[in-house]
Parts: sequence; C-alpha cells; structure tokens
Amino acid sequence: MTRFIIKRLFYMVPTLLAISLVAFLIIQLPPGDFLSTYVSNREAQGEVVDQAEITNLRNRYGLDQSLPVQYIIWMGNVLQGDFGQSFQHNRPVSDLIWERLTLTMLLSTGSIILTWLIAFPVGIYSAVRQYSMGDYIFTTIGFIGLSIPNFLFALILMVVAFKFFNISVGGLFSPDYATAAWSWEKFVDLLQHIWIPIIVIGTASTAGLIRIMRANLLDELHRPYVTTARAKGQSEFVLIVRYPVREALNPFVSTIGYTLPQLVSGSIIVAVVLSLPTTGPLLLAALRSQDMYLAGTLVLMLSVMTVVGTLISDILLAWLDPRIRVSLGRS
Amino acid sequence: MSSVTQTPSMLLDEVDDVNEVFMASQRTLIWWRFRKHKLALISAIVIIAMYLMAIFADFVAPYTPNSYSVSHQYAPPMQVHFLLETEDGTRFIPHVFAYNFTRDPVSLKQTFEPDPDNVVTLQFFAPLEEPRMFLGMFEIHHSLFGASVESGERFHLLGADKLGRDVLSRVIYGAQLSLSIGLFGVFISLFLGILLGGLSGLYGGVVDNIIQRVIEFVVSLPSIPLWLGLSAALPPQWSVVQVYLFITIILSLRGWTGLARVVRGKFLALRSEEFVMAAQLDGSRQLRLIFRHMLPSFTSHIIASLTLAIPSMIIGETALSFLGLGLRPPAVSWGVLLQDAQAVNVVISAPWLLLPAVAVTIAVMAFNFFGDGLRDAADPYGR
Amino acid sequence: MTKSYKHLRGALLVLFLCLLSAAFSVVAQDMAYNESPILASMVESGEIPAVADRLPVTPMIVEPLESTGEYGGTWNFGLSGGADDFFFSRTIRYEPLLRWTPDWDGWTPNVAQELIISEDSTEFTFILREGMRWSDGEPFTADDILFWYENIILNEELSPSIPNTYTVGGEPAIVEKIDDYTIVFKFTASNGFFPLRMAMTNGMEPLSQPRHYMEQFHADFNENASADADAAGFASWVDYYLSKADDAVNVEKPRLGAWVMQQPYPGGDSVIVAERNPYYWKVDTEGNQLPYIDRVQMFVAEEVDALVLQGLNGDIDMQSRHIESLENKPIFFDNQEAGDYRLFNLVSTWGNAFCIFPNLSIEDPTINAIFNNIDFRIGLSHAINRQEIIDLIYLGQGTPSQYAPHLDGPFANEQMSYQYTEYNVDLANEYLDRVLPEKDDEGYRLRPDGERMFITANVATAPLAELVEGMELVRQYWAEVGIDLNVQVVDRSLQWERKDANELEIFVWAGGGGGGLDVILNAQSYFPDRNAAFQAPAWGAWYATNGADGIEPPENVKEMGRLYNELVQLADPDEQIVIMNQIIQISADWYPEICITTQPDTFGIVKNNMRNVPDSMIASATYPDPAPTNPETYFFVGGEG
Repeated sequence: MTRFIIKRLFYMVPTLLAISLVAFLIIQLPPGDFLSTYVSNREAQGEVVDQAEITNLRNRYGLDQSLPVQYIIWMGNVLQGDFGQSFQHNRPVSDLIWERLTLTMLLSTGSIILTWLIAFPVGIYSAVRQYSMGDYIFTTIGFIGLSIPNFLFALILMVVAFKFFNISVGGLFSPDYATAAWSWEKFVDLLQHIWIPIIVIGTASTAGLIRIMRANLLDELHRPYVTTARAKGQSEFVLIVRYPVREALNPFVSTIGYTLPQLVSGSIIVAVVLSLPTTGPLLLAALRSQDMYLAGTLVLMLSVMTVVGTLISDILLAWLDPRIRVSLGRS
Repeated sequence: MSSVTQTPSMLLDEVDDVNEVFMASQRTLIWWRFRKHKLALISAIVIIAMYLMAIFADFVAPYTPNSYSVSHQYAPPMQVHFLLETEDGTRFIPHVFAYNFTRDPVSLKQTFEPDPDNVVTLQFFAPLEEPRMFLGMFEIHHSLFGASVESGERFHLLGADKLGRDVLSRVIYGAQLSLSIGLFGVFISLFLGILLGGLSGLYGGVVDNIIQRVIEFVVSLPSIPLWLGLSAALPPQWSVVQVYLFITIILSLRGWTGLARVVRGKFLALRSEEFVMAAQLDGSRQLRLIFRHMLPSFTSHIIASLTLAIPSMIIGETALSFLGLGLRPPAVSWGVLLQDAQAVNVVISAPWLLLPAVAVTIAVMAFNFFGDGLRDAADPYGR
Repeated sequence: MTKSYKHLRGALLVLFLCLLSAAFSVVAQDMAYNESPILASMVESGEIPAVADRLPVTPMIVEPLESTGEYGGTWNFGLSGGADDFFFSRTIRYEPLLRWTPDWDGWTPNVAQELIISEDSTEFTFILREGMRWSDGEPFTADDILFWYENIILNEELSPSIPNTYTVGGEPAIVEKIDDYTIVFKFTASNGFFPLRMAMTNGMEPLSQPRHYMEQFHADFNENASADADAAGFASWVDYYLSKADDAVNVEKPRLGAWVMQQPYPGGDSVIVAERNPYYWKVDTEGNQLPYIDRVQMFVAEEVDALVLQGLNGDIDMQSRHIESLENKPIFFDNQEAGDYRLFNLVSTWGNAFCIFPNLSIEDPTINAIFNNIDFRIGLSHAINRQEIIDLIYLGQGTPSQYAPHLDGPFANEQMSYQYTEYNVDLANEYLDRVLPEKDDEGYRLRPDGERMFITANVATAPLAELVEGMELVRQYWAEVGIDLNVQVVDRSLQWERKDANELEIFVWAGGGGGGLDVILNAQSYFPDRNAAFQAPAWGAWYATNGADGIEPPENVKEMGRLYNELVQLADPDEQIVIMNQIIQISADWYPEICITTQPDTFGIVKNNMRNVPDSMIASATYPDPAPTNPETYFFVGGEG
C-alpha cells in the first residue's frame, strides 16, 4: 500500500509539469496580452491612454519577451514559492488568493456537507422504497433542482428575496459588518447571507447525487448476497448499511477527488451572480484580462488539487473495497 | 441475461401465455418491463414529442424566430378566449384581443391593454403572410396554428421579448439546437469512457497506469479557462454553431474521463468474479469480455450516467451562454433565450421570458425519468 | 455675439473673479471655522490640531447648491467588479490642480489657488495654498510637485517615456519652484490645452507623490529601497514604488481628497469604506469645514444586477454609474416611493449612441477599397430604419442622427447630424449598385473578385448591451439590400484587442465627444486622433506616433490632424472653436462612420434625504460625473443617512 502511494506521488510530477505548460498556453491563447486588455479597458471608459504610458507598462511587465522565456521565468519563480504579481491589482498573487480562500472554502465545504447530508439518506430511502410516494416526490424535487440552471436560480432567488422579504442580497455580509472584526453578530450576519448561495450551489449536485446513490444501491440490493443475508435473519437496517451501501459508495468515491478543486474554485457562475468575494470571480476576471500570474497560479492550484484529489480517491477506493486492495497488491 | 430460475412475476399479467415469458428475447422483456413504469412511458412520449416539434419547427411555430414587431415590445402573454359573440350567436371560435400599446413618456414603461373591439381569430393550418422554407428544402404556406392574416395583428401565446419577437416560436425553434447539440458529444464520451475505462480495469499494470495518467492530465485542466481561451482564439469567420460544435467535441474528449474512472473501478472489482473467469477460460477475446460479459452487470449505472449526461449537456449549454462562451444571437437555443432573461428588470417586469427554463426543466426531467425506467427495465436482477 | 464683445465679456469676468477671490481671501482669514462633531472630539482628545490649524490660510470656498449642510451620515453606493477604480476619481478623490465648473463651461482653481498663464501660453504658474496639508497632517508644498516631476517623470526607470500632457512638440516641460507655494511649468511652445488637461483627472498626477512619504521607496533617496522591495516580495524597487504609489492599493499613502479609503481595492473586501479627511482644505460659504458626510461605503458587486436590486431597495444613497441603462428606468421609476429615492437626469455628452465603424485602415485591399468608397457607406446608411431601432432599443427616446456635435452648442453642424439618415431602401440600393452591382442567386451582392460580400462586425456584450440587439436589426436591414453581415458578439476586451490589432472589419460602439468640452477633448470620432482609433486604428497610430508607427492616412485625414495640432496649442476658447469647426466640417464631408441616433438622457438615483445633489448633471468620463458637482457639499437632512 505504501509503495503504491509512493509510486503515485512519483508519477504526479510529470503530470503536473505537463499541466503547468498547458495552463500557461491556455492563458496566452487569446490574442494580445494583459497590457492590451488593460489599455482597452481604460480606453473603453473614455480615458485617453498615451503611447508613452503603454511603452512604460510593457517594459515593466516584461511582456515584450517571447513566450517560452516567460514560461520558464514563471515556473522558475513558482518552484521557489514566488507566485508573482497580479498586473490587475498591483499586489502579490499569494496575498490576493489567500484573502479569498477562507471564505471560498467555507462556502464550498458548507455546500458539500449539506449536499451529502441530504443526498445520502434520501438516496438510500429512494432505493429501498422504490416506486413509493416518497420516492416519486423526492425524485421530482430533485429533478427540478437539477434542471434549473444555477445562475438563473440565483437570480430568481435574489428577486424573490427583494420582492417578498425586502432583503437586498449580494455579497456575504451587510455593509456594516463587512469590514468589522469577527464577532457573534458578524457570524449571524454571514449566516443570513450565506443561505442563498448554499441553496443554489447545493441543489444541483444534491439531485445528481441522489440519482446516482439510488441507482448504485438498487444495483446492490438485488444481488444474491442481500437475499441471503435477509434470509439469514439480519435486521433490514444493518443489512443495508453494512454491505450494499459500502458497495454503492464505490463509484462515489471514485469521484470524490473532484470535490477538492471545487473547494478552491467554488462555483464561479453563482459567485459572479451573487457577488461573492470568493476565488471564482477572481479567476474569471484574471482570465478575461489575461493577468498571467494570477490566472496561471489559480489554474495551477486547481490542477494540483485535482491530481491530489484523484490520489485520495484511489486510496479511499482501495480502503473501502478489499477486493481492489488485494488486486493492487497482486499487480 | 435474465435468470431462468427467477420468475419475472410482474410480467405475467402482461402476456396471455405464460410460456411467452420464458421464450421472449431480452429486448422484449426489457420493453415489457419498461411499459409498466408509467412515468417513464410518459417521459418517452414527451421526448419523442419534443424531438418531433424540433424537427417540424418550421411548421409548428406561428412565427420565424427573428420576426420582430415594434409595437409588441415585452408584450405579456395573451389570453385565449373560446366563445365569441357573432351575428349568428355564440360560436366556438378561439380568439385573442389585440393589444393597444402605450408608453409612458416619463417612466418609459410600456403598457398593453387588450382591446375587446379588436378581435383576432386563431386558426389551425393558418395561412402565412410570407412563405417559409421547411428545413431549407421546400416552401410551405401554412403553419400549424396562428392568427388570421386578415386581422394584420400578431398573436403571442407566451408573450414577446425586447424586440417584439414571439417567445413561443423562439422556444420551438430553440429546441432544434438545444436538443441536438449535446448528443454528439455525449456519445463520444460514452464510447471512449467505456473502452478506455474497461481496458484500464481489465488489464491493470502498465496499461492502467498510462491511461490513469492521461485521465489525470485531461481532468486537471479546468474547463472555464479552457473555454475562455479556446473561444477567444478561434477564427472570427466561423459561424456561431461551428464554433460551438468544435468546442463541444473538445469538451467531450474531456468528458469521458468520469465514466472511465467509474468503469475502471467496477472492472477492478469484477475481475475476480467467477463469471469473468468462466468467460476467459472459455476463450473470450478481451473486447467481447468487456462488452458482452462485464458491462451488463453495471448497465444500470451506465444508463444512469448517460441519462444524466444528456441533460447536463443541455444545462451546460445554457451556463456557457451565460458566460458568453456558448451560443450567441442570432442563433436560437434555449440558452440564448435565457440570456435575454438574465437581468433584474426582465425578471421583475417581463417574467415570461423565463419560460425557456420550463422547457429545459421538462426536457431534463423527461430524460431522467426515461433513463430511470430504462435502467429499471434493463436491470438483470430486477423483480 | 461678436467676437470682440465676447472678449470684453471674458476680460470683465476674469477681473470680477480676481476681485472676488481677493475679497474672499480676506474674508476667509477672518472667518471662524466650524468642524464636524467627530473631528471636534478628536481635537479635544488631542489627536488632531484645531480646525484653524488644519485648514490652509486660504481654504477653497465652495458654495453649496441648495443650502448649507449638516454634518453626519454615510453615503452608500456600489462599484462593479474589480476594475472600477476610475469610479473613485468620480466620487471621492477628484482633486486635480484645477477642476471643471459644474456647468462644464471651463476650468476653475482647485488645489491651485490661482493659475497665471503667460501671454504666449508657454508658462503656467500655479499658486498653491499656504498651510495646506496632506491627509496625514504633513504640509503640502511646491516641493511635492517638484519631487514628482524630477524624480518620477524624469526618472527613466519609473517613466521610460514622458507622458504627452507634459510635452509640446516632443519637448518636455521644465518645472521650476519659485517658492514654497509657487511652481511654474515652462513649455518650449504654446500649449493652450494644458489647463484643460489639468482639470481632467490628469491634473491629479502632479499631486500624487507626497514627498515625505514616497521618498522611502525611491532608490535615489533611500539606499535600502531595493532590499525593502525584495523583502516585500517585489522584483525590483520600481515595482514596489509603483505599488506604493497607487492610492487604491496602498491606503496608507497620504492624499488630498475629502474621504480617505480604509481598505485596498481591489482586495478581499466586499465593502470599501472611506472616512472623512480631517485635513481637507475646503470650507463652505459659512466657514464649515467640508465634507458634510462622515463616511462613504462602497459595495463591490461582481454583477450589476446586485446593484440594481440594492438601488430598488433603497440601499443606495446616490449613484449614476452601472445602473443607468434606459431599460432599468421603468422599474426604478415605479419603485421611487417604496425605496424613498428620486431620479435625477444625466445629460449625455455623446455624439451618438450607436455607431458602426467600418475599418477604413484594414489591410485586406479588396475590403479596404470597398469600405473607403463613400457610396458604400451612404448606401448602408440609407438601408437602416433608424426610427425602428430608436423605438425598440432606446424606448422611443433619441432622434435619428449621424455622429455629430450637439445641435445646441457652438459646434453644431446640421449637415453632419442629418446627412443620409433617411430610411429609403431604393436609394440604398442605388448607392450600393454603384459599388457592388453583381449579385448571386440568393440576392447577396458580390465583391469585384466574385466572392459574396460577407463582412463581420464585432459587438461587445457589455457595457452597451443594447447594441447587440441593435446589430441584429441592422443585420436584417442590410440583408434586404444584399449585404451578408455576420454579427459576432464577444467579450468587450476581446473586441477592443482585435480593434487595437487592426484586425476587425467592423467595430460597433458609441461615439463620445458630442457635447460640452468633450468635443475638443475627445475628438476620436471626428478623425483618428489616437492609437487604435475607432474608424481606422492604423491611421490613428500613425497620427499618435507622428508617423513612426501605423499606416499613413489620406490627405483629408492628415489635414484634420494638422489642424488639431494647431488647436491644442491655443489657449483662447474662441480660437479653439473656430479650428474645431473646420475639423468638424472636413469630417462631415468625409463621413467615416454610420451612426443611428442621438444618445438619450439617462438617469441616476438619489435618496430623498440627501441634498445639494443637482437634478440634472452632465455625464462623461472627461467630466467625471458626479465629481465636478462638488460631492463634498452633499449632505443628509438631519445629519442621518
């Protein structure tokens, strides 16, 4: 098992290098560079940007060098822990990301936990009581949640909150608490604002999870060993939880790794609509303006998270299913 | 694959002769079982209806998608009345009242008053003002239903948008792109996912390693940066639909990974099952092993994934349109229509523009129920 | 009015103003000053000196619009996204050397108490205010301006080239300090535009480097500058210096505005707060130190919809940006009572709301020839049903018009406003037949080389979203006359990048420079006056770099460039008007862009308890509304808001 983990870690390195290269290229794909976006932004606002300034800036940002050189410089810095400056914000990239990371993780973790808390029991219930009234109700609600596009849902909730509850929703804090120090009141304020994002983000994945859970469990419930156990007199509850549920979790666990990058990027679209100060909008803005170092670092972070997540998935898979553990030992 | 030792009892009331059950082929059995699941049956009908509507859009829709009207900007849905007072007494004539359009000079708000004196009758097989091309092949002169041409007025069952274009017509035409564009990509993903995941799980070792690394690499590239980069780098001359097809294919080349991992996990677990060993001893080739023997044991999961994939493609299209990376006007799809609704002033004053979301929801639900039914019917261990 | 009468009037006005300011300076010294209760208690606890010591000897006296205000309250409004820092220049930090008058008919002193212009407009002497202080209490003197010019502008590492504002004919200005409160800019040739530029946001540049604070980051003054930069994670002292000089990023930097930012932007905070500046150097006519409002709270929204909802809910105190699209007017109008706010009018300075710019400097020779043929453009123009577009897109507001200066100003040109605006499909076909007579089976016109005339226009999704629908209508109109138009809807930055690279065939935008001083300050739509100009990016580059870059334009465009070069050297507004009208006439005959309608007035919202806010104000980036209407005099009734 340990050998397996070490081998995987070893393989991660070339993967990550390849990812960094592609990430860099993706950011550079659109024509122009940060500077052209920056200049066009200011011009679009009506300001006159003169040539001299443009030359100044090009020089300062090192954008006159060729792409391979820029890549090497960037990677070299990253490996030393220097993530560079954001052109847009004129601040170190690490500062910017760090500021937003806590809230992003809070929001994502909250949504994921809520999702699992609801999806697992409901999925199990749906499978066990297949075709019952409860099954149909949950199925329908689940599908509605799955079908409505997230951002539209967010917008509708915002308007509903405004029209019927007179709350203006946006951001994670009311203006009075946004800059204040942490306190109980501030925490309560956060809770008041955070329910809409969590609902919006949670609904889609909850529905999907319920479906998959139900399908998997149904697969298992009709296996011979379940009938055997039942015949042997095991109580229904223990029977279901002990083996079928563990089996049904198998495909889940394969995909659990993907939740890790979610923690960092956290539902970009919903964050944009609801004006949440998370990393999602930061990434989007950085990509749009080709803020190379900020975008590159974020993309790299996401990719690393995914790779690590995959590794965790595999380890969990092996732990959950003894058959896999044995076969891995064999190979 | 259904076991002879189990009696498919629920099918007994479907057939007249008990023996038919035992002699029926696998496909027939699946069909019989599917029929029992009423919701799934209805969904299947709904899906067929939607695709038919999309194919025959040129005939079904009262107006072409880009036909606009200055005096019907943000017109609310019209109420259809059925009984009309004529000189010959009350007759059953479906009709609506034309709108009187005024705009407040200060607030700029438009108001629509139905005018009871201005009756617009509705007809089936209504003659068109201008002939239309049916699927670009031949001209037609009638639409399924519409306002009578003599009245010279327009009829908006579901209201009109900012340019006075008929929402109902646009939803019908929108189905063409929305329902078709994801299918291609999903099937590519499906095939690649099963093939590569199967090989990976079956062989293990080096093959597994390589495929795993490839999966990791492909998966780790975040999609939104990829979309942004690609959509900005494509040549300006490409039409919108060309661009979208290209990007969909690229993304489906990315989408197979999820299924591959799951398939691999299952295969790893199943490798040691007896029936696999039996097939191998029997001399089955690897491909046959994968597709004929191991796959059916988790067909239900694959079906669940598939039926979640198609609607997720539909939703994906709307999400990307929101970010400005998917389809754009003048192409008409449900995502494009929802873009128009994506503003506070629309949600507050013209909420009928959100109706494409209902179309999306119905489509997604139909696919899901259908997939459910199919999965249950195909379940080899089903009751 | 004859010219001589205008001159006499001008002279009398100047004389009167001098007398008035002299009178005020006497009065000011004798005035007893009042201050906000918050500051008063800080004085008591010894944190800050008394108000008379905080104010300069001759503070600027601002007359409030309606009445003297009351101290107190918080002004809430919203920013959009992370690139909105220009909004600060519109609200809390518009303090250049000079400022625009609220009516935008000229400039008036601001930080500089007085500006003395030499006869030949080569020397500009700014008299500063004795005793004026930065927001940290340190004195503000001519040394700060000198420090800026010598060590930033003339420092090659910080400024590899000198901005145009401070050069004439390529020669940089010489800046001399006469005494602590007098500083002079000397140019080698007449530079009439210089005071105008000093009233724009450019005029804040000389005041952006408080010497006592910035010295520590400058390598010429602190030998540890590089080491410090390294320790802070910057590649060089230059990067570190520039980040410290950006007052949105570095909130500790001393500044001169009425409110001082407490959080950096853009940063992790979703609300940026600005507190009153105890050392603000303006008072009202009764001696009350400004501003009246204690705090400004700015909510950072990622999407404008959040701001719209906040505004409807009454959570915004005063705002004119981001929410003011015509589409929103009905809902804002309906909600006035519930939200307890009123609407005010924003008068546009644009020359046209919806302009289609065929790229006249495009490199493809076939398309270039066709686009540059005036009959082609005239034909396309007659094919457009402008009234329909106005009714659908602009809710019936606006009148059919080409790009032109406002008809109620000194630059009015009826030919330019109304030429080719008639909707006449037959006439359009007539003109187009002269250029592209051949058609294919589907009725689309063919180019000389036999290919279908297929052209692509790029239009941006924001901030002018209405142009997207407008172009859909234009596409249908042009299809009627046989032109196959492909409308690509793209992100704004992508659209501008393609334009800047001279890659676009057709660029769609609005045209500024129609009203007030914007006509002479923002001449881009009259002729390509800057790099990547709308109608001909490469010709604009040629003009901006004096022929070093870009493609050489034809004679009439060069002529306009020559005239404009003359214009910027003139100081007399009347002479400026004469030359500008000549440029405008050449541009009218040239007819480079096809435009649709005059820009309707839009609106802003202000809470009912907020006062001294005008009912109507000019909207422009050059006149950064609402700043020239003196936000420091806005106040809340009862001091609560």
